Amino acid sequence: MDWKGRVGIFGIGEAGVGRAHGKSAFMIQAEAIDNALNEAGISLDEVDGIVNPNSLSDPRLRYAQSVAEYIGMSADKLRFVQTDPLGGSASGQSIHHAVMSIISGYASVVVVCGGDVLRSASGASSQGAQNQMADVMGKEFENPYGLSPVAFFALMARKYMVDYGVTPETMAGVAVALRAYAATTPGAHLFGRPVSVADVMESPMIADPIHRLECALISDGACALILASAEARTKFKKAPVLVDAASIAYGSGSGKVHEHMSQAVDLYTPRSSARVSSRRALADAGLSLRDVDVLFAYDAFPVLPSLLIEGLGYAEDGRGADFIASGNIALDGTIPMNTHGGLQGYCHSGYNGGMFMFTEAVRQLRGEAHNQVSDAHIALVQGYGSHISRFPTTILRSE
Amino acid sequence: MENRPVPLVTPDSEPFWEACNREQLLVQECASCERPQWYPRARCRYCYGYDLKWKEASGVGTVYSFSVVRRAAAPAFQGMIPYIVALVDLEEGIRMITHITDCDPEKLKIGARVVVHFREQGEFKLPVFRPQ
Repeated sequence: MDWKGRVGIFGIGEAGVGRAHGKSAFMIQAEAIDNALNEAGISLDEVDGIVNPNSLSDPRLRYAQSVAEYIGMSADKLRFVQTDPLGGSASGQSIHHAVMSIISGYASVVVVCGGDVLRSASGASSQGAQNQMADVMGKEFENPYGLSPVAFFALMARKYMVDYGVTPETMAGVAVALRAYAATTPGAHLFGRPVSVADVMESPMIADPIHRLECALISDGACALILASAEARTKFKKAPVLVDAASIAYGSGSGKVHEHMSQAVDLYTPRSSARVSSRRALADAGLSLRDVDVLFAYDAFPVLPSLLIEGLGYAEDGRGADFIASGNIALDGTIPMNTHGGLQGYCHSGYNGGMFMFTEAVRQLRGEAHNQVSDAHIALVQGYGSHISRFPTTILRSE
Repeated sequence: MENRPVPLVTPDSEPFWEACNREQLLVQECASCERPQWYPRARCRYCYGYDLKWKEASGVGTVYSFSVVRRAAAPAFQGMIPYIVALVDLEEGIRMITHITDCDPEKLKIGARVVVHFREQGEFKLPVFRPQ
């Protein structure tokens, strides 16, 4: 795959991060899109593609088209309208699909957007979110056992802790390290609210061994990114951040693919798949892990980024949680990671929660982040989607 | 029973659930490549053959991992908390999501030997396990 230098992100926007203050999911998505368009210096009438990962509280088969309709996109112009109902995989795949549409010539300027109001949802849409969460589990062999997403990650966390002798305090330390970044990021859901290991350990147990303060937030929030061919740069106000390479691994990255959680070959597919996917993406970008200045890894629960960074190669098997908990992802650490606070502290508004890794990566590579990594030039975003089954890697570069 | 979800049975799995209702745990095995597979389906996921047979499992397995769920996944499970969700490896070589019952959650360990029994849920009998 040769994507290097061909497609750029020319504008980003966010709205309603943390709390939407009574606005609807469509309203905050419209605002995020406007903010991204303003940055890029173009009007909506210049956009001919839209990609959206759907909504958890208000799922619709043609969600991207619903957004296009709401904001008034032009049928004269539109070429690519793609709903990506891929769960957390918007933390990569929605961006990849936009790049594919641009490289193929199917579209020229694509907005990737997403948003939801999980925190302030009314009773009806809160029930919608619950139904969705239950629905994504297997209807035959998982749902009847009340396997919640937290319980599933709890199975993984316990296995990890027992196999490698990782203590509950170390797992709590992962959440502490991630939430620390949010505490120093104005606008983050948990801005100004750092937590300690004791806070995490004393928070209620949701699904043993996962405590409440180790769970991804339940947030409102929307974001949008404007992608276009790097050759079209003169029509934009901002210099692009380039999407240099991408790859995805399914299941464990080898053997049989799976879709249901209970079909995973083991509970360590985040590690094995991130290894496969990141190596392919780095090779395509002509880079090695040492070239990465700032890292993003999907962090719904502490065990997930722990395994992902082991797969990427930052820590030995079983040492990922300790790596994160002991200061290595801080600004002065080995590799700054999730500098906005991730799903643990910045925003988890459902399916688009992982897309905030991209808006933050763009800020980092432009030198505009609140927790700025000095001289950040290359970012690696290690995404995750659905039942430990999809692991997209994306490499971003500043010019 | 607060309307907990029941299995959505397919033609692929009907014999499995019928056997559960007789309190028998069946495992599907490929007649060609002799590998077991879970969940039941019409085709072997390894050799792609269609010649599958049902075999009664010993019902004995080991706990691969487990979680004590203290916040219900859905309102229907509220009355059941705390309940233990587990992945259990059957002797026959398949791994299934299930519950561990009749067990002090503080004493359960990964690797514990467990044995199947059946618990009514709606019109169904779900295979669940308890310490051997």
